[in-house]
Amino acid sequence: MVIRFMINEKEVEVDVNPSELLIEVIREKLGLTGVKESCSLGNCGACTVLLNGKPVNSCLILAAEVEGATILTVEGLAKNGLSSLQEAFHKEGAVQCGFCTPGTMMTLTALLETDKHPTEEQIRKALEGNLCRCTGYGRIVNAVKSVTKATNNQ
Amino acid sequence: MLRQRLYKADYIKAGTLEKAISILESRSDVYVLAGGTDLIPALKIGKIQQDSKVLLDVKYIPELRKMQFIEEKVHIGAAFTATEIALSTEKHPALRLLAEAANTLGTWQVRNRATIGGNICNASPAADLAGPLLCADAQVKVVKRGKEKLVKIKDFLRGPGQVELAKDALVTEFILPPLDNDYMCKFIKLTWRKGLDLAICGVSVLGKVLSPNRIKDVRIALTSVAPKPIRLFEVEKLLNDNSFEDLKIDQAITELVLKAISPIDDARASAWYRQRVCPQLTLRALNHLRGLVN
Repeated sequence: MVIRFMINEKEVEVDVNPSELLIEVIREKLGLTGVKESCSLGNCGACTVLLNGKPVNSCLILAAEVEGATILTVEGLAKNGLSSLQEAFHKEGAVQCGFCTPGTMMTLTALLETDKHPTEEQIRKALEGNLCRCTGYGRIVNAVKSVTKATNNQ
Repeated sequence: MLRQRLYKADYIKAGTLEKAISILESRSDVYVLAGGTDLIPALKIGKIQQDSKVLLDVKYIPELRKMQFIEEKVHIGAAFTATEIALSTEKHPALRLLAEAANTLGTWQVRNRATIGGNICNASPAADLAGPLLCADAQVKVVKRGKEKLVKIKDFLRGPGQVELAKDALVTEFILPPLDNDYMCKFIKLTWRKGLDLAICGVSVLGKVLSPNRIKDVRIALTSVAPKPIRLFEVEKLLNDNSFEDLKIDQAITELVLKAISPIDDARASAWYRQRVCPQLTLRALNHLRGLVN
């Protein structure tokens, strides 16, 4: 079946099997391998993408379900250079092995869209579904705080 | 065995209730697909057979997407997501309790897809949305060809993974009966980590707090401590008839809770631990309600 949807502001048309998952279409048919697969069961969040602006586990969604939808992956974050969140991650050292990072970034990008000044509690709550074994979340939270501080100063 | 992919499943999107019912009637190899957050993992780990099945997408059926307030009752379409419910600002006390619980379900990513219909029909004994629905004495609207019926939530939930639902029927909505706006509610979910985990024990309390020592028409529901989510009818009766100042009421409540629950050892906690923590969480929730009134 052919499905049409927007991904990273581009319209795409893909022929998929009914049982193909969104993550395999994004990675293998569209070549966007930024999204990672780890637990496959919707716990770890490494596969997080934004579907109509909302973070979702792409390992739990059939490609067929995204007909007409708008998807954003990590490859779509840098428009005129890196996004402010990407810059902050870099400056604050919030990336170690980097495997959780695409998923974490998508969740936090969505968070900052809905709330420009999240509290630390809200940031950590938003990250419930993004497991990071390396950083202990400290520098990730600092990165978000540095973005909100910069927003304050504007 | 974890298979990361689905291989031979077919997908059908039902645009209307009519079409969904007709497919459920005419085929025996159908799984209803709503949010997919329970179904897809179950197919991947082999909990249910994946080969040659049809996944029937019900998310777009209008009857499952209606949120209505009719004669002070709240009608929540079965395809509403946990996020949508968690963000509700409606004042109906049972909906506030439901929203509190919905906000703890899984993770943000899961909440954006998981539906109330799926959470209830999956019928985990730990189902987060079951406690508030039980406290509300909610009704489940079940639709078959040419007829619909309302089933009380406590009768709908039969056991672990079992609900009162025929193969050719579909849950379309949940109905919360009227409740005065001054009912108070509290939801407590004990988990190992701050998010993501299934409950060790979940407590939902709803009641009219007359004074710090009297609660009227209290409803208490527990999850994860019995084969299905349960109401504590005997504790409710005790509280309706007695004041919190009565001697040893904490002990009486504890004893009644222990009588009502039948926890098991599982990945999250032992039965031993649940027996110790469950009465304490129940008291904590009740005391929270008492503290809301001066």
